Amino acid sequence: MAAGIPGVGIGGLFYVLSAVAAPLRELTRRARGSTRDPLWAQAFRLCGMAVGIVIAMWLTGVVVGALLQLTAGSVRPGAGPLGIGSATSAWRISALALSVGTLTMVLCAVQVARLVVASSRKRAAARLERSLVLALLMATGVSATVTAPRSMRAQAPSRAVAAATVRDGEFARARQLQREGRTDAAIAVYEELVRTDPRDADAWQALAEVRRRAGRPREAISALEIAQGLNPTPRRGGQIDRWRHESGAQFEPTGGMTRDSDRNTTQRGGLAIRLPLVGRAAVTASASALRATNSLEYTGQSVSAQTATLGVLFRPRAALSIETSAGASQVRAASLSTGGTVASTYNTPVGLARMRWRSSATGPSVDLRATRVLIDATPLLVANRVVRTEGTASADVPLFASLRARATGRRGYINSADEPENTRTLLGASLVRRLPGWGDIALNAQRIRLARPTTQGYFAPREAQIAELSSYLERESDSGILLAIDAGVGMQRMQTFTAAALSTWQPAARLWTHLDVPLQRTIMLRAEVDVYDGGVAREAASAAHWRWISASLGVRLTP
Amino acid sequence: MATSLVEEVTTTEPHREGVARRPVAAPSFSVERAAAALTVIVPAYNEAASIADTIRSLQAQTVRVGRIVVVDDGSTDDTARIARECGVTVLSPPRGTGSKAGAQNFALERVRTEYTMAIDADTTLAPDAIERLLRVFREPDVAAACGFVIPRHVRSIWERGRYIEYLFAFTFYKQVQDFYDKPLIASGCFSAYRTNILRRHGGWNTRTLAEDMDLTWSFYQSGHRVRFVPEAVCYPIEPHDWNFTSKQLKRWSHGFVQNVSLHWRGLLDVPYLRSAVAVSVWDATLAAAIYLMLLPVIALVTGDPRWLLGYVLDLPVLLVPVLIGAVPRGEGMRAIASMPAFVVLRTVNAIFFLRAAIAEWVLRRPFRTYEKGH
Repeated sequence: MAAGIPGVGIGGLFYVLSAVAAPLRELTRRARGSTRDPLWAQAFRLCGMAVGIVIAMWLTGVVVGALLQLTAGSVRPGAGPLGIGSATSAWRISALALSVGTLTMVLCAVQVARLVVASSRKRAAARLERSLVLALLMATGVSATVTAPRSMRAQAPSRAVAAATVRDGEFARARQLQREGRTDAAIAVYEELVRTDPRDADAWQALAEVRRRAGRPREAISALEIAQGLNPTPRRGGQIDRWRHESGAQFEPTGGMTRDSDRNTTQRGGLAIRLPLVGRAAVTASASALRATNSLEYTGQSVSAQTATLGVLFRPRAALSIETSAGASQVRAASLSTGGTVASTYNTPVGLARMRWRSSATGPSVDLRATRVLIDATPLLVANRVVRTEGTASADVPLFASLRARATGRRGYINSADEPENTRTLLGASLVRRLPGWGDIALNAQRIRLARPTTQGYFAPREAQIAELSSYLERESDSGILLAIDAGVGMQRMQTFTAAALSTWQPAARLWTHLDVPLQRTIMLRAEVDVYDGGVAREAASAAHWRWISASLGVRLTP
Repeated sequence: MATSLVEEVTTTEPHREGVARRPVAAPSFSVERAAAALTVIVPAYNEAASIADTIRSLQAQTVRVGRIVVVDDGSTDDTARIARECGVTVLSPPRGTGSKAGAQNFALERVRTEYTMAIDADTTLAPDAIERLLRVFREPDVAAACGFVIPRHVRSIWERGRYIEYLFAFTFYKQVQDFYDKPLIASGCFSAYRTNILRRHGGWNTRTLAEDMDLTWSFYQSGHRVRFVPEAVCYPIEPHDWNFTSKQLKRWSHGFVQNVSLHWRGLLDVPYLRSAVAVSVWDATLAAAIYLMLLPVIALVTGDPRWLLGYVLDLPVLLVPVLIGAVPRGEGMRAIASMPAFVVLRTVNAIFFLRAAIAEWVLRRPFRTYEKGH
């Protein structure tokens, strides 16, 4: 059955375009490591057929145009557009434009409908899922202990082979659902798989991982523990410890220091607490203290700040997480604006609101953030009460194969003690190539602009431009040791408010490393080192070339 | 937290996102074994003239089929007797089920094999059709597979029109759909299914008049795959006169509209299929209206009858896939000679789909009566 009018509608155009894109699609499949048989022959056959159709279309247009011109004289004057031979090419072009425009409109309408329906449906599904999962978990417990082993023993060999085939099909279906971002549906499939065969460790492992992705850490750990009980492996044991650390109550004392080429030094210490609540929420609290000194300008002097915040982490759906926190910073410093040094104490509110949406592991994602922070990188900044209030929006979309595009926009307002408000605008774009199992590499470009110069101590060029090649790598050992490295090299140039043009490109580099080492089941050592060498500073720089190093060490306790 | 040359573009926290993977176990699969584990259901209502050919074509397959079941759904002719004489199982529901789906479900309750196939009682198969069709079940996530359809008789205008429509659709549209893993429909006249998945979806549902489309779209929504196998060819008898053609078109058009109404929300989650269906809906409604009315109106307004050439201008374009499908079969001339009939059928098709859309969506008059028309 062909719905409608095969050939003349936008359906014809849709399938021609689909066929033309077939080789590209196959290239994407191969690049993503598809295990299915290659379809190159089919792709090129379809593409060839589409090319043949386009050629036939063009020839038809040429012939019709010629015929119309031949017969133009026989048509009475003013008979209409077809009588005007010179207009035929315009008609062909406008007809094609109309078809393409209509097709685009229809396809866009589908995407809009999809977004509208998805948002309403997920709300309803979340309510239903909670009750269904509870019922399924209860059923799982019953069948695991009573029903399944007996039925397994009763199976004839041929039926067992058939059942294995069916289960593989179900696994494939669940993976497909995951790929499409339908995490909750994938969970339902895995739950059915473990219900029908409670001794399948692979199914429990898969269920655990997808539950974790859905923001259900406790259920994920319980599934992983069952998998470990069925088929113990050191890797899974380490995984369980790590997941416990991540999902349980956490107390993390941290200490660290930074130093830059302007001889600014900060020492920090703090405690972060995370307490899971019922459902998919957690309460966070943090308290930190900072001491900043400058060995050149502030010999023998220092400023200090204490910050305390209270917040909530909430993950209402698998794809969505919301984080908020609010608190205050109290600063004890000397003001430099009056020609002398006057000790003073002031308080300023700080906070964070962040919403992250990610459709699936490989799907598009959006990150929206609003922050208000005390800029505390140097004593000068702290003393001048420099505070930044900023909104950030970033999006990450898959292109083809494992290529992705990321875009970031940021608008910040910087307030200080003695100057009018300054604005800072940042635009960035990245082309990212995922390295499955490892991380990604990216080409990044960014432009930063500020509205006015400053004497308050923060970095404020008229414009800065950055190009960078970066790589993020992450590996986890069987024993649960995790190492993450984020490195980048690139070029930067900037224009100060006194310069007539942008400077020449200068090299820059950075390296960030993170290491997690589980010491015991309830203790994890966490270390970070961050090194930067370049001209464009995040917050403060006085020299043309700025170097900065930060190191921190913490212990995450999970009672 | 890392300091980037490029702020916040690169990730500064470990990702730690595992994707559930499982080594895919590949239980040994052979087409012969799959065929032995196959039950073929043949729903029949007064098919005495064709049922023997259908059964013989099943029995002459290059692989031995496990079981052939004819469901004699209240026939008043010799369908059941002929089928029995051919040596196959004949099931007779106590009362007529009233639809092809009902007859198939009656048999499905009795199926004990891993695979189930449905084939119309007026359809014959190429000798290797089942062998080729079953091969795709080697992939464990394939729930259903369908084959290439070619009308057995190409004589009347309606048969010729259908012949071109099938050649075009199965050579081009459906192969593109299959390449993107989403054939629009596993045709009810010749499709095979995994029995457990078919049962899990309730068999063939009678809530719409196009139960095969309903089933196919349900499979997609639950994450299963459906494959189109162009090498597996079947030959149904298509409506030869207006009476049967109109019944078939009415059933198909209303079935399509009903399925869109039923599944549209779920289809929005199925990549490619959602676009293909949206395009089909557009072509079946607004494009059909424009196609039927615009050209005559312009011809009248301008006084230039050449505008009506618009109805046939795309025939050379359509001829490309049609000939690609027909020439290897040695039917190039037949295809060219049948093109005018396709213009007629296409116009009638547009009228029926437009009517169905208006009846179901505007006037809210659903059509539920299953009228047999091949």
